[in-house]
Amino acid sequence: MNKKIMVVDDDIALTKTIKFTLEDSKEYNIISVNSGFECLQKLRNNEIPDLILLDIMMPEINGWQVLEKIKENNDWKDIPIIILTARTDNLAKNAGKFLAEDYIEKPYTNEMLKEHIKKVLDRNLSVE
Amino acid sequence: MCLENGNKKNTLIEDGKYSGLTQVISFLKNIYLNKDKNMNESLINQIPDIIEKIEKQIEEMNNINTSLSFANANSAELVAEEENRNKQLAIANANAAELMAEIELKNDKIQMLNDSLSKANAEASELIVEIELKKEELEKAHEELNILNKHLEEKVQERTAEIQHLLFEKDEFINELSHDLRTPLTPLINLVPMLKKKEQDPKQLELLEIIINNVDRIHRVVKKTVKIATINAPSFQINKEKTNLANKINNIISNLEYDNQKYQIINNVANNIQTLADGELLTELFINLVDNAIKYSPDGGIIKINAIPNNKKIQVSIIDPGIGLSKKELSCVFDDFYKADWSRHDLCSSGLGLTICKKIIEKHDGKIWAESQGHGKGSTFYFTLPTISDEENLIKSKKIDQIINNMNPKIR
Repeated sequence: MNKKIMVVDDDIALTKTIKFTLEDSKEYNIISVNSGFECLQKLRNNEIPDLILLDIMMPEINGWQVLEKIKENNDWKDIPIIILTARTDNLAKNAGKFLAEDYIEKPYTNEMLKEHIKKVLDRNLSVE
Repeated sequence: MCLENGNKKNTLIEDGKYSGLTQVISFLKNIYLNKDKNMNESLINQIPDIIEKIEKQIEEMNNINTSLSFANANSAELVAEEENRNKQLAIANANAAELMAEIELKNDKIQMLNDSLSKANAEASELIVEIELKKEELEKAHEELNILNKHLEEKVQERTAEIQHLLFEKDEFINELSHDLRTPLTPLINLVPMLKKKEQDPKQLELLEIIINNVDRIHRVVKKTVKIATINAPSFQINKEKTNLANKINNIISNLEYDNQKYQIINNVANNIQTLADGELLTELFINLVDNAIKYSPDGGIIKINAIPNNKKIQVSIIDPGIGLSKKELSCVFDDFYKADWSRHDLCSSGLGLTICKKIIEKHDGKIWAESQGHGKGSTFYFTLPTISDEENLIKSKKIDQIINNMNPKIR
């Protein structure tokens, strides 16, 4: 069974790109949402993915707030999260490293993305 | 004695003394009375006395005369003396007159001198007034200059602050721009290769290839810009580790994508040279410099890497037989977005590689510079890296500083 990956980014071009590239290899099913609010709503509706790709710079509820909400919730806190960020400062790096499972700098290539997803999912599997 | 008839007077002398005169009223011939005769006789008798007296008187007179002549002689002498004196006086007078004349001349001269002195004095006081005026003017000018200087200093400070602000804004702008480009680049980087993979038509494939190359170019510029911004960030910290320079360079060369049929890279660095450097940054530095050396060298070019260590720094040089650099170019190759040859767009350089190198070297407290004999004569890029002992010294001095800082301020 294919792993379910939720992509959270306010940029539709980006969510579509990920959907195209990741589904192209037929390994993953992609749920795309375009706001933090939408993401939390899906989780509340019990659409729990195997992994979340989370953008930081989003209007209204940004990535950090979404991250906080997920990690606070007992039902959701084990979902591995990979931060997608266009910022490279140490704050973003460290937050990505310590608060989430991984982080990827934009622009990333399809190969990079797959590598990171695989690494996080494998690690999570071995923990379980 | 002959007594004539007539009124003759005779002197009567008694006891040698003159006692009076007798007048003979008439003497008639031979008619003498006895009395007369007696008188005559007595008179005659008196004559010698009288003569004697007269003689005496003459003698006295003579005496007087002698004394007079004596006196005369004396007076002549005196006169002569007087004359002498007069002469001397005249001479003295003449001398005095001469002296007077001289004194007058001198006086005239003194007067003249006085005149010219007072003239000079007047001129001098005029000059003094003028000088005072000039002095005042100068002081005023000085004051004005001081004010101007102060203003200038303020202006310079203002401008410097402005420039620094503008530079900061420029960096911020480039940084923002690069970050803003990163998100839209992601679909391009990922979707165009997907299209290419599924495309069969050779013409379409060629077009897609052009698009992919250009997307790559934007990607490269963005990556380098972000790299510079990252290194520039105040929070950025380098992670120094003991590194064997020769091994590190060999590693980098073996991972470098270049046509080793066309170019040759010779690592001449001795095996025992160790440096303390950030591994990631060191890789970035060598990739940029060797990439440049290859980019600007002709086919068959040999690129040499040398290192000379001394007790503080290791001086590394990368020598290429490439297009070389002019004097003007040497001074600005490390500037942002500078390219030695703008016409060579196909070389895909971002113009930021050397800026990154400079930042990396600065982070290691080193220097980077380029040398070239001119166009077509190749270039050599030099930079310095810390030796381990230099770094240890730095740490030691930092530790000492720390100890001093932690000391009781009273002791300090």
